[in-house]
Amino acid sequence: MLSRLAQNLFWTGRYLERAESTARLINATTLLLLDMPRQTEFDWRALVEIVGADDAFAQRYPDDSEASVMRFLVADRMHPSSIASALAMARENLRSARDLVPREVWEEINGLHLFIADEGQHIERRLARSRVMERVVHSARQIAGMIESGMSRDAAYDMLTLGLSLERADMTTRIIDVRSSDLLVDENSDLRPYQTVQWISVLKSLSAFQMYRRHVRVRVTGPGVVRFLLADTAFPRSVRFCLQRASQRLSRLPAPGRCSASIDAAMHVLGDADLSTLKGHRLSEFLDRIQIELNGINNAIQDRYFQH
Amino acid sequence: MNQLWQDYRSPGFFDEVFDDSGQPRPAANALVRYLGEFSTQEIDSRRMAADLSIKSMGITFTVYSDAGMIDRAWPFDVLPRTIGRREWDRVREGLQQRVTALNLFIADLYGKQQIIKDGVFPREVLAQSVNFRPECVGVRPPGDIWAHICGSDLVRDGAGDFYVLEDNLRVPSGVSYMVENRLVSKRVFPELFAQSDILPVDDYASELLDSLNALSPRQDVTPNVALLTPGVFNSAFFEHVWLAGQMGAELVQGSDLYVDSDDCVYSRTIFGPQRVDVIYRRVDDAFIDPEVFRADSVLGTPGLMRAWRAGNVAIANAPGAGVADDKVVYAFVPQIIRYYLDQDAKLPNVPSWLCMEDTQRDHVLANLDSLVVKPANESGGYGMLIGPRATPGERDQFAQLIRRNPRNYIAQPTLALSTAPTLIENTARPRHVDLRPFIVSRPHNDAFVTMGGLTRVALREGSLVVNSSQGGGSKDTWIVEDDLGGNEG
Repeated sequence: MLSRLAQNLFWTGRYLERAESTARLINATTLLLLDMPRQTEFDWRALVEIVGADDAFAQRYPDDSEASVMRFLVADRMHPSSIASALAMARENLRSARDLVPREVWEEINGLHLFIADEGQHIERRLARSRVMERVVHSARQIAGMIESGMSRDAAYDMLTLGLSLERADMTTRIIDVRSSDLLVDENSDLRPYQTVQWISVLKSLSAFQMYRRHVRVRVTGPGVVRFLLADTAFPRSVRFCLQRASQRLSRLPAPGRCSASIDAAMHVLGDADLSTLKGHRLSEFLDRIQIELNGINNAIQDRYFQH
Repeated sequence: MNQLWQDYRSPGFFDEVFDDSGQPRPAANALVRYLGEFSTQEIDSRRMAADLSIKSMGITFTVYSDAGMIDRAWPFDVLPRTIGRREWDRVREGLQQRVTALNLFIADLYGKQQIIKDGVFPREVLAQSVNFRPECVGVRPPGDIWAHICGSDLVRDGAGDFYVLEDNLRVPSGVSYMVENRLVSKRVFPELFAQSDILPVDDYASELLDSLNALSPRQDVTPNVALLTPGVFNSAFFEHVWLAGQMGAELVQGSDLYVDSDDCVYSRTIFGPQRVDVIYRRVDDAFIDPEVFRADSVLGTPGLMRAWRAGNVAIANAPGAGVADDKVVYAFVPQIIRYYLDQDAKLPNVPSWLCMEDTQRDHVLANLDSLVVKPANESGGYGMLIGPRATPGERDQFAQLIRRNPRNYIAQPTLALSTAPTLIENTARPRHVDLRPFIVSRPHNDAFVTMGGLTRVALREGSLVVNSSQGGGSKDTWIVEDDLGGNEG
């Protein structure tokens, strides 16, 4: 496997997962609003914060309206992490490496890229938007299925999966981060009964609600969800699971050395924390810490395999 | 018959599907009958299905323009072009003969140059050839094959006879579209494939891989074959990825390779250096090795020629093979065939005038308004003059070009290229076509020829320009098993 193509596949995985996670986030948020009291002031900027693009957004959009935020997150090609941009980058990376993945994977990514370029404009109305987001998630799931069932477990698979796993871990921390802080401003306000609904929406945005119910078997609470999504060993979108998966793929690649060490370090950070007591500001700091670790893993992989 | 074929006539030209009396030719019988039952809506929905397939399959080509690179959907006409099996077999033999002779010719030019000593091929033509590479003199590539892959452009004249228009021996492209076109037409007209004997085209990549493997300098291990591409901005990048994928070869760029002090070629992989045995290069000679050719090239790999000359890597097509990809050499091909094989050419050349010869040049200059003038070393339809369509100013300009550099030009009569029914606003209209089959050469005068080839079609009415970079389209090409008489089941 050429270093250059390894890099292409790693980033195809990251961008594809970024597009899917963003679509999940938008859909879950839109659905959540339907459950909220009508006069609730919803802060759409929170979604921009999740993807870490506050400054870019502020520079280009005059207001924080739902329409602006949606345009920015879905269709704005000037924003490198919008769904349209992520899919364009996934396609561009895969273009050079398309002979390494099953043909259907390329066709689906290509089709999804074309779809979002057309339909990404029609997202102001919530009904249309949720259809578009569902298609993105659905396609991404289909692609994942084609990769799982159609790809030999070779270096190409390892690189693609590595990118997917890291991005997924990263997006999971981001989703928890914003939800945990201040979606609904005051815990003692009238909105308190809606706290549970919010955490359910977090779970739902990650397709985690059912599995949480089955495996945690207590009512949905903030700390319960945080622990489940960060440290559960069995749920495929938990940060720990993603790290384990990345670690497995790495162990099959030649001399992973520092890359494996950086994953171990992230696992330790996760293992040492008392997750049930983390709340508010301290939870945010902790999530930042995990994101820094994830970044370290990314850089270690970059240095080890993509220098050419 | 329905609206599709209604009033279809192509007066003055040989039509691929209908004969002069308006009856379908035998190879097109099933096709005409079948599509004749389609309603206009049905035709339109199949056309849309084809467009959608091409878009979703991501079949594209890249066009250079002022605005930069554009990745365009591959232009495809749903109506296939048909040729009978027996006729095709004759064409195939002609192509085999031709590339065999061309390979002997190239090997001779880089060896003893006997054909020049014997006075059959003029030394001054070689002296002025821009694609002759003195760096290749004395090299003996495996099996003495230089032009491993050849794409020859064929046309029919008004009488329906096939002629060779040119031989592309450098980096001919189009074969991926030939195979993809078939895939699209199977998706669009599955019923037709069940009803007629259309010969398959999809074994090209396997044939090519076998031939490339056989070139490996290390026959004791499974060879590592790499396809060298200039990169995503190349107009044929789609094809490079496609071929690499079909063959299971590594798709590399020049910077992915390096030549070590042992004069072997290695690729930079995540497992460390990996030796490369065979390179199918889709980069022009001039760019493959900045140590030997253009020093400013970033597309190549320094030292590649060193490794090749040492016999540590095979390169297809061999550097220097383009010497025979020259419109002036083309004019000599009938003599070349006679010289090396002692045979008459089975496939004729289009009559050509060499501007380097005084009397022929005078004829060309006096008849610019009826001739097509081509530069010796251009491809893609660039830099040529179509006399009858040109303005007097353009013709004057070309007359000057010819006088300044006569060696660089040949002229041919304007051909009455054959036509094939092409879907224009839901009805069949005659449009001019050519055909590019691909020939893979192997040692011992063996050559594989694709079943048919890529049919290119000039989509504008009356136009003769079929190049996709200039508004041409393409068709699936069906070689149809001839009806042997009777219905034996």
